[in-house]
Amino acid sequence: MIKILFFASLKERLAVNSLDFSASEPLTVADLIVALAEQQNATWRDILGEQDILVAVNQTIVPREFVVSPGNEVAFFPPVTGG
Amino acid sequence: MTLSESQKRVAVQQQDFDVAQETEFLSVISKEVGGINTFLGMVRDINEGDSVSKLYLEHYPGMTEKQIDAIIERAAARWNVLGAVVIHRIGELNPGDKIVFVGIASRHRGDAFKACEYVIDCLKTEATFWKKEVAEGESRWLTTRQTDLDSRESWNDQG
Repeated sequence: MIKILFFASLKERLAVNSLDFSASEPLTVADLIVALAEQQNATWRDILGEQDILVAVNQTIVPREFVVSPGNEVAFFPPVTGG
Repeated sequence: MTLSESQKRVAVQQQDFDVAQETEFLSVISKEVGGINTFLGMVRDINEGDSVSKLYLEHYPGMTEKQIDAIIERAAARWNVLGAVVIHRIGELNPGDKIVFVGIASRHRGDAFKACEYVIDCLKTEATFWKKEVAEGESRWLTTRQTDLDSRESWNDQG
């Protein structure tokens, strides 16, 4: 199981703050997005594919080619605005 | 040089903080401290006019604290840092509220000034916080400012 979290405006656009994704084997973030879009809604592919959307796996920012494994925590979020 | 737990304080919290108390923490860390530089970030009233705006701050529990800690350690590797404090508030805030405190204690003031500015510049472009402005029933997520990205870049490190 891969735990997926969404934050801020992205969470609002998708109307989901988290979900569990059942993965039988490792897959890249890019493939995970495709799988999520198939499961949830085709628009997810465009939204999560947007250039400025960031991805973290186990709380470290990663590129889309990064391979995610069962047990990982994946988070998608927009550019940060703290401070 | 990495800081021990007694030399740094990182907190992400809803409640307000006390600037004097946090500065005091830095001033008693060691007799080697010659200069302390602090930064205090405030909630500005973005809506200049009759309507009152509120700011809502979201964060990624776990990742945010880790990132702030990593930023402090990077500052400590680059400058003389004897103590560091970062307090950042979350939740609902109003114009005039304090948002963030960064404090650095060093042997000399040059390092304290630089490390403090570095920490806030990095926090603004790296730490997983998101601000939403709410005014008159409408809400708008703020977007990253180019000036913040430029400031971050001016430090010439990859992080």
